[in-house]
Amino acid sequence: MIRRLYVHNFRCLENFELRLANQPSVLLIGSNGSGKTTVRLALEVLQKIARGTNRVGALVKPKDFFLGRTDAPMRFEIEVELQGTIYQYTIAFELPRGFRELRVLEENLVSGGQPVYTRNQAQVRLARAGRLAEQEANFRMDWHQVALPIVQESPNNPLFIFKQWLARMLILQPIPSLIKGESTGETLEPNVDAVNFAAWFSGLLASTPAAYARIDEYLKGVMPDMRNIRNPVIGRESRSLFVSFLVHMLSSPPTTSELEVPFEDLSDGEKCFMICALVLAASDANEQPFCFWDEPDSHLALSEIGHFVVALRKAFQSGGQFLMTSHNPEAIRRFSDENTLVLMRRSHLEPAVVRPLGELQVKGDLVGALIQGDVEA
Amino acid sequence: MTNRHQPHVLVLPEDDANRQIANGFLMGLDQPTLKQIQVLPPAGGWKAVLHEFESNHVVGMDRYSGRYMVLLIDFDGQAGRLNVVKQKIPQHLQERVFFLGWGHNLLRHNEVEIERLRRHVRPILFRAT
Repeated sequence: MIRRLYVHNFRCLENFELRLANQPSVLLIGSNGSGKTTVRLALEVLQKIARGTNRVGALVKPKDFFLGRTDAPMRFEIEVELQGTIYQYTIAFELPRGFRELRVLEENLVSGGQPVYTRNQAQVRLARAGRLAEQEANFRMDWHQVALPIVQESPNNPLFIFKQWLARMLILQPIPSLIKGESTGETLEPNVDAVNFAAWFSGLLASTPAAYARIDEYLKGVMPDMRNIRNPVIGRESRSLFVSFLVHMLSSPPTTSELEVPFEDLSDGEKCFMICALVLAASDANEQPFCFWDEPDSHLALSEIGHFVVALRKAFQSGGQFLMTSHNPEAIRRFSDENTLVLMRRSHLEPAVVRPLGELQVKGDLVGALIQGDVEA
Repeated sequence: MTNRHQPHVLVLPEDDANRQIANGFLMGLDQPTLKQIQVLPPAGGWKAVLHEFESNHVVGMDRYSGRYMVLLIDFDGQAGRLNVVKQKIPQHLQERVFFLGWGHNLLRHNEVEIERLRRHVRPILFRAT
């Protein structure tokens, strides 16, 4: 569970702090351009690092400095609680005069109050648990590379636990029309646009076969005519997803039959149900799941949004954390004052501000106040 | 989508506070039953709940015999308000309409109503375990 996310000098986030401790589910609302998606982008930077992207130029660009202010560092800090231990990871970048690519100014990982490693520009100091300070490992590395993906880890040490958690965060803004049913491998790390959905499906079932029961239960609840999902091998190393539905034939006497539909032919909303099913199954399979879903209601019918959002909130309420953004009244109404955060930005020259909805004392219907533009952070 | 031909529940909250109370109730339901309940937008006052019910929901309840409605109303300790509300519900629908409120003096009413709700709605929203 994320306790705190701090971002400075990155796009519209300046001295921006999200405090999320003990919040199993949180809704981010705010006008267009208020910074909701930039929060997602900040999390993506951290996730890319954990998934192995270590070249700074592939993580952040000079244009990502708030208002082009390269005279101050760009900073990301995340504080996470995993199995009772607090992990704090910090990375700061700078762009010295004459540089085209940002470099690492500072990087630290602390576990349970003890440093795992610290770094200042090229100099890395790797702590050894229980050893004297002089037995630490010190080495220098390219300042255009991040250390986290490079430092050697061993199973179940703090570095491994934190990095795996960060890598397996589910950060989603699916583009259903781009999602096909074919896969050539397996993964537990879906892309933000979920175009590798089929590989995620394969990976999830390979690692946790029981996940299919959860997927099946959810999908049959939202699509009662669905029968099953097949993922047969169609080539030497590829598979393809098919979903079958029960259809009632207009014959005499009436009969039923199965209609098998290639995954890519499902509607955008049906694909979102599929993604939701995998998120629910992944949350069951992971002890401390985290999901940030940017506008999960985008492709859903009004009557589907309420149960869709509540199902996601429920899946993460025991030890996990679910964050979402929305402009949809039905989705917004499924959260309460204590778990809704309002982002606001007065102009493109000013940074995003975040406030808990409960502090704003919105009178009457929240959605009505949002429509009228009366909710100000 | 809620299957309108199966038993289902619509919750009509008086205001935003009651909407949030309904959210807490939803979080306690099993996932498969979430589709059988919809929380409607806050009506904007107890009189607005009645107006909304009479204008938009009587017809729906007549059309769908499996539809139940829960009206979340602040009675503000006024027993008279409860009677006014009850009288507005057509006789033939009274068995499928429930009133829950939070006025202290009317908690006894809540107990009776919750028991009635449990009897009728439990099979819809809570699976046998």
